[in-house]
Amino acid sequence: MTEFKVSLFYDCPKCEARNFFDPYSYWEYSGNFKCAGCDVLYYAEWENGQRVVEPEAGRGTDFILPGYAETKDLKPLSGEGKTSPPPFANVTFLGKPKNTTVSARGKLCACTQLTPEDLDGSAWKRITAQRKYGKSW
Amino acid sequence: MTEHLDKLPFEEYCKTIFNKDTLAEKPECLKGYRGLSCTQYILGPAAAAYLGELGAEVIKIEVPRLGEPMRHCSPYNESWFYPVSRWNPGRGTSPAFQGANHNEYHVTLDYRKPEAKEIFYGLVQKSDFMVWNYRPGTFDRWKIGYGNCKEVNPRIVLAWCGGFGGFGPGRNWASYDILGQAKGGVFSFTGHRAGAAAGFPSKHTTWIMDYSIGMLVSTAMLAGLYWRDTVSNLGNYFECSQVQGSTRYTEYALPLWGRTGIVRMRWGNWDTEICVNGIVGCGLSSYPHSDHPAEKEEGYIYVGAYTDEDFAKLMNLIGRPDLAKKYATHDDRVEAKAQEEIYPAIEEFLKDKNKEEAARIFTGAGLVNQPLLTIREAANCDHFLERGSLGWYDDPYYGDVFTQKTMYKMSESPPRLKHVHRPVGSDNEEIYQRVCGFSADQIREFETKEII
Amino acid sequence: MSEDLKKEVQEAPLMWPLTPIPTFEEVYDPKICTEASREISTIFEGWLHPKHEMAKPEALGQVRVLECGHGGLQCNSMFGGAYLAELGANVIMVEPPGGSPLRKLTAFGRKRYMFKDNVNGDLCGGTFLHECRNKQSITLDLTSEEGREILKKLAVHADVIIENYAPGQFDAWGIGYRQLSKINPRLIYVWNGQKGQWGPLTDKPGELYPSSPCSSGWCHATGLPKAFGGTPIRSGERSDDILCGNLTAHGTIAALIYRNKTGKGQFIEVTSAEAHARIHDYAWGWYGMDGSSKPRYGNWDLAINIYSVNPCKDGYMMVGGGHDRLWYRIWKTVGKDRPELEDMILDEPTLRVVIDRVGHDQQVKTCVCLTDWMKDWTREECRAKLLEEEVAAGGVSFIDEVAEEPHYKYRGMVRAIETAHYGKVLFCGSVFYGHRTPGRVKDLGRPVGYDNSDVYRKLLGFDTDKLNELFAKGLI
Repeated sequence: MTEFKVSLFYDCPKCEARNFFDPYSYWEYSGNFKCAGCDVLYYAEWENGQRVVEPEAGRGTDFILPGYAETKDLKPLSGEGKTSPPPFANVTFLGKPKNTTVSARGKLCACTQLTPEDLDGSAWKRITAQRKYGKSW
Repeated sequence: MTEHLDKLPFEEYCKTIFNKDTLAEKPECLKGYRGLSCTQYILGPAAAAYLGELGAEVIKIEVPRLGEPMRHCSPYNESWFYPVSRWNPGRGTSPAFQGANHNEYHVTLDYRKPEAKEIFYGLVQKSDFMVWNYRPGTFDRWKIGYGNCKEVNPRIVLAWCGGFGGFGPGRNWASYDILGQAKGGVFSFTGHRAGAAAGFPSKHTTWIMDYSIGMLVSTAMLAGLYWRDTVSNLGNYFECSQVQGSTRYTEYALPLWGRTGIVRMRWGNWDTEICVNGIVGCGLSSYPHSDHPAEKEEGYIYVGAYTDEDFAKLMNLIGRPDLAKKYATHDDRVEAKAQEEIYPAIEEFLKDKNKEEAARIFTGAGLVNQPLLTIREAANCDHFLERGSLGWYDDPYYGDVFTQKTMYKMSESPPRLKHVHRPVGSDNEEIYQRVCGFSADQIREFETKEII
Repeated sequence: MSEDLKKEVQEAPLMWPLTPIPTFEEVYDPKICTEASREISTIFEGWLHPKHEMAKPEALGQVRVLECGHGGLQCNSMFGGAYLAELGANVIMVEPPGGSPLRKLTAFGRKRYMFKDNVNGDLCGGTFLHECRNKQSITLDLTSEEGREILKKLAVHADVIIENYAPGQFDAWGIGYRQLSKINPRLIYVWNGQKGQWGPLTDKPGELYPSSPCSSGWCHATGLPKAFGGTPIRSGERSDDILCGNLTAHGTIAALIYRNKTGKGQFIEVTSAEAHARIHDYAWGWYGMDGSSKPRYGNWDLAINIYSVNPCKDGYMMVGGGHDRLWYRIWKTVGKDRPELEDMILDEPTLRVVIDRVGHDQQVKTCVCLTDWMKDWTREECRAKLLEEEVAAGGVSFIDEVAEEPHYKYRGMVRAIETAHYGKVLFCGSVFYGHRTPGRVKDLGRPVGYDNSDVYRKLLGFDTDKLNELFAKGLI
């Protein structure tokens, strides 16, 4: 069985950061990329996803960024100027439940984690309390 | 009554008869119909939800305690509506669930429990339609498939929907929406052209195959109900395969392949059959100082100028009368090489403008155009808000939500939104008592035994 | 000349199937199929296989539809009419004299991609042919007063009228819903369009796809992210016209059910922008919660990892498996060839819990590891390996691969018929497989005005003299 070569990530020999190359920007790319760990430029070539020229000294000053990078002990090195910017949906990115009790226009909404004591049947007490005439289906 | 309507200018007339604020005053198409939705993800639920919008009483049956998997997939894991059920208030339902589960009553049932079958038959006897999308043969194995249901209720219209259909070599293949897009053929000709962004295809932003095949499944059920109520008094069974729907949308690709051996390819934001009719990029962002990432990007605009007069107008506008002369007829300009010359010329003209300015210029010249709006802009677009397609809604369970509302407009019996969705099992007591006739302590017993 | 024409059309090639269609015995061979599976499939086929479809009744057999959406280049009415025709309605296309402009649409304007009919020798484009299922064709000049009077007479005999002219055009001509409903109160009138016939963004004359997905935020959220070199992208097929067509069929039948109970017709407005907005899933709920504006994420998914399409050796490969059950199986498959990639994933702490996997960094790492494995295998090889672990996966198929897929051929999804007027044509069968009233395709394509004599005589009592007169005046 042939040995498979690694194409889409690279361990920088200078700073030991592992740079990940997203398969969209790098699938047919020839040019420089910038190591997220130490900012050094490397030149490499990819054809149909296979890295046909291994990273060597950078040529010229243009470059693109890796999609993600991490240190040897798996600490992320991503950020502005280091890795290509992720598509954000909002000004901040949390990646966890964003608990809020008001909607985007400031009115009450049930977007926060609850406990059994918060419930009135299957709904949040604060919402059903707004209905002075009793429970509504 | 209609005299005053006859005198109104047309736009006023439409605004009056389709008014979003008087929807509740009008009757419903499917008043008195009841249906079961034994579905998960989007394909099946959407089919039932479209009928729920038309006034049918749709009962969604889910797995006890946690419900179906669509509730648990939220973008970036950030947005959730709580509680997912009264047994799990610390977990929420994602907004992905809301598009396909409007107006439904939510109950739970564990099909695998032996008592569940009789309870299910009780619901089937009182229902007009049922839709499910479990793997083919599963419901039949549990004795609740078409063969059994039509004995219990000969008038019920059933629809099964799924990836590859219930028979044939691929009947056991699992399917997701994007697998449907991929295997059906539409994925191969959506995306960037060769030479731009490495010619990658792109999936649709959302589960269009699921939603649109859901519309077809829903249409099949409506046809079955119509035939039953006007002609035959017989139930029916429909099977709709999602991948087939994807291939059904390929327009000219199959006839072309069959006759000439030519394979349809991607053509990016341009149109293979009409020129000029595509989306072009503007050079500037509409909100250069905004913090919001969706707004920092440069704008795009759709422009349509495919008649000879409009095309000449457009080319003169962008300072390229030579192209107007070179491609004076439509057959000239719709050829591939011509499009590759024309669209970059338009983008060259727009490279120092943002999309609002481009829209002003095109509209001023009488050319059809539409700036490409972000989600934020579309959500605040007066057009959708005034027409009631989108809007804020005071949901009885979740409070203030922004949601999609109706799929189309009808003047006499319009579809409408009654609530967005509900927690798992929130209607167990109501439905099992009102529809099935079980008493409160029987229902409590089912719950303890985890039948529901 | 006409004998030569008939011969030419009859002998036009059909390059399909390139491999034989599987037989029942091959598909359910006991070596590859359990007895239980064969048994249940036999029952399903007895109910549903398209080979039984032609003998069965039709759900909408009593419905007559006038499909008037042939004044411009929007395909929405044509798609809607196709579904109603599949379900058995008598759909009559009302085309301008000379034929619908939609007949002329062909990729890159190339005439060699079009289909010739054996009556007049006219060329017809592929999309029109594919969607002209079971339909009849009459011609009528609606721009003239006399033509419109004839339409009013036809409206007496129609259950449904579908049109997609510019907003208010039919009304200004005296043949809008307000006017026709007085002639026929049971009439169901459907208007199709991009964004609407009222409201701040009312359609302008000549407005086409992709105007509606641009206005509803759909296009903005489709395509590769900017960081990967992408732009917003429209769909290759006319997704807006397709959605509009689906909902036209849906709304029409809903209105027929309402009419059945009350005797009243109504005005239905189906717009693609509204349809796009309706199916945009979590975009709106997410916006409402905290103002988030859904970004485009290319072929990856914001809510599930792994649920994406990535390149492989000979194309693009879709792999899905968000939950643990499938996640670990995917990496087990990868690990058989590349154990170091599986280790990288299993060692990564932020990929341990399902809900932590959706962050962008995690998606990049996941897709890089997956694609570094896939780059050495073709789509079929990847799929075979993943299927061993029961993971849902499939390559992105081009239309030639779709046409030859054994499963689709067996089910009759991709099939060919010898049409009455256009020779042998390859097409996609009706999606409505059914036990009692399946949808079906009896014929594809119709020469322009082929049914003038039949329809005008039958419905309006016009005799040969009258028809000659109308033809001389250019009205038909």
